[in-house]
Amino acid sequence: MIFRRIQSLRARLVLGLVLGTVLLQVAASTAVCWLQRQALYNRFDQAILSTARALVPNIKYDKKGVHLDFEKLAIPEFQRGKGPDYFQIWRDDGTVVARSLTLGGGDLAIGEPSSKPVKYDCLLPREEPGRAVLVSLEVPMGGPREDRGVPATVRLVVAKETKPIRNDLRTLAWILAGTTAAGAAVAATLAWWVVARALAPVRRLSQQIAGIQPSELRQPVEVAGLPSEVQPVAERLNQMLNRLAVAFERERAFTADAAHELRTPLAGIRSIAEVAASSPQSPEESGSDFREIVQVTTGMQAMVEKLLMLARLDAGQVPLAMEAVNLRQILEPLLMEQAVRMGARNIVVRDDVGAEASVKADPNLLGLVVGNVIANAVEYVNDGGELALESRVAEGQTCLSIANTGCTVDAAEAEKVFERFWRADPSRTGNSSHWGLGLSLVSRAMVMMGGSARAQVLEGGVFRLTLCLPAGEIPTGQPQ
Amino acid sequence: MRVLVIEDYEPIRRSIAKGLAKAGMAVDQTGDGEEGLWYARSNPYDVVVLDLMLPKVDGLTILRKLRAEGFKQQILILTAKDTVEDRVRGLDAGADDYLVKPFAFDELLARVRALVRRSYGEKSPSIEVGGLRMNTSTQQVWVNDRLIDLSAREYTLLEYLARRAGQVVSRSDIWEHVYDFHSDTTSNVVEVYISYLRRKLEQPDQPPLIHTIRGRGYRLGEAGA
Repeated sequence: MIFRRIQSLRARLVLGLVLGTVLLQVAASTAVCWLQRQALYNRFDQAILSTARALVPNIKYDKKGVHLDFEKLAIPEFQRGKGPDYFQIWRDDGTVVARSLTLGGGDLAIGEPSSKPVKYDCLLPREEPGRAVLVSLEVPMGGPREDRGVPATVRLVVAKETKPIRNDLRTLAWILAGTTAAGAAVAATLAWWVVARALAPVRRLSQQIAGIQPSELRQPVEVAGLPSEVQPVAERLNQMLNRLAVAFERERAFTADAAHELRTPLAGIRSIAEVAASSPQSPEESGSDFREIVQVTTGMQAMVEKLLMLARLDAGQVPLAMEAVNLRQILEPLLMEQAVRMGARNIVVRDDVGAEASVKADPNLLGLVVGNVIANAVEYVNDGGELALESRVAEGQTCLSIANTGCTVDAAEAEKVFERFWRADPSRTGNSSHWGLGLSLVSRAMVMMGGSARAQVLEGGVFRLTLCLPAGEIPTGQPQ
Repeated sequence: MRVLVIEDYEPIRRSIAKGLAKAGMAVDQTGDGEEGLWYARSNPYDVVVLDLMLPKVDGLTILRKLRAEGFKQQILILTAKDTVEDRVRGLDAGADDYLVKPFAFDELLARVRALVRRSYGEKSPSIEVGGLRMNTSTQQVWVNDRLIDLSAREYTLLEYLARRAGQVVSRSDIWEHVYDFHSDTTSNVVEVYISYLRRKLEQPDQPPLIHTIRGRGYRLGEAGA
């Protein structure tokens, strides 16, 4: 459809309105014309009929037969002239009794006889369209009563030219057509103008939107003054802009942080290499430089891998294979990994995780999560401090909590540990494998698996991280 | 020339210290703000290379404390904080120079040398005392236009004496500015190095460059030069 191809709302509205106006006006005009025509013809027919009735008394039937007593008749309409009237009288055997002079010897068309007057259109001499009325009547024999016999059946047709009414109707049609055209033009102009005015705020809105810079997403689009139909769009747009701004800022901060975090170890590597290259040094010195570079790059690699994992979790690109996982099976190898480190620092491990404790999780991702939490606890626990592991089941959830002593974080700041690149001590730049990403990874992964992670700082500098997941059903009879 | 490096990131701290030492400077290093402040207070360093984010006491606090206590060392801030506000804050707190990580070690070295020159009130990298001429940037030494080959330690000792040419420099001054914290101050290493320098610089037909002032120390060049 053409209508679909028109992209402009304004053009569509105008086109629709004009079409509607024209259709309505055409319908109304047709009705008016038809009614007017009916009325005119009715009146016209009545006029013809009364002419006919005036003629009837003049039709005589006597010894001479049926004839028209025309001498007594003085009806000017039957004179020759402009738009004259016509009549013709027949007997029922078809013989013409009389005809008006206006016929000039021609015949009028005769309709189907009936007891009532018959009205019909006909062609008059000179090919003029006309209207005729046929009246059938019985004319009794005139003269003395005894002479009277069977009355004669006579048919009288009176006709008039319809030119005047046709002229009237044509004039009416022209007037109506003119009105329709003018109405359509007015409707189009009015619609064009009104729609233009109504859509002006939309154009301003689009200009405003076009002018939005990525750096100023926070500045909202003006909602006041917009048509109420468009206001929800603008409001949604503002909400979306807000969400975008938050996401953008987070992304920007994240990128800046990541760059900052990578800059320090890079500076270290560069410094080591430049000093080594600046003057000859012993193989022992070079060896220690290389070892140091390897250590720094290992740390950077761990950070980049965490960043990548976080990005994948954010993008939902980590496929999850959820199954019942026994917590002990996850914990054992991770604790073994840290055993030497903890032993060297005299850290006491209090492990109260039940042998049956199980959760519904992706075993690989859960391993990563718990590994990060334990590594974090071991990193921050004080020498000779305590690491406490516990499991609890409540309301269909199994919670694993890992607590360490020696925490210097403020209780109010506990939840900040999940923020990317947040660090309890800002100066611990990359000395360890902790880059302020581990716990945000934990939090993200827990949410992905339908669980939650919570951080608390308890009395006596105990930092406790609690991981909760839906409890897993370990098939009965399966050995631990 | 004695330098203190306070930087908590070990790879950077160790490599800087190593590089500065190779350039003939006596270097002390620490990764801890508290310890750094103690070092800076107890030794007459010519230059302190200072990181801002430090455990226990941060760099800006160290800087403000040292300046408030009237210490006049040349302080170079070495940090990853690179915004204009950070630089302004650092310099306003009393720093003499500001270098952002990552940096080229050669640039750090050049800046440290420039700070050393400034601490002795010099602008030119060239020092001339009698027939002795030194270029402190290239660390080259000439005596009567004859290029002399010196070891790093010999050079540092000579540069310190040259910077204080005409003055009597005590053995403890030399210890404090030419040797780092871990050197053994009881040995006669200063005398040994002075004798090395004399052997390389002085010729029998020329007047001596390094004078021994009995009981007080040494003097390069004539008194009051």
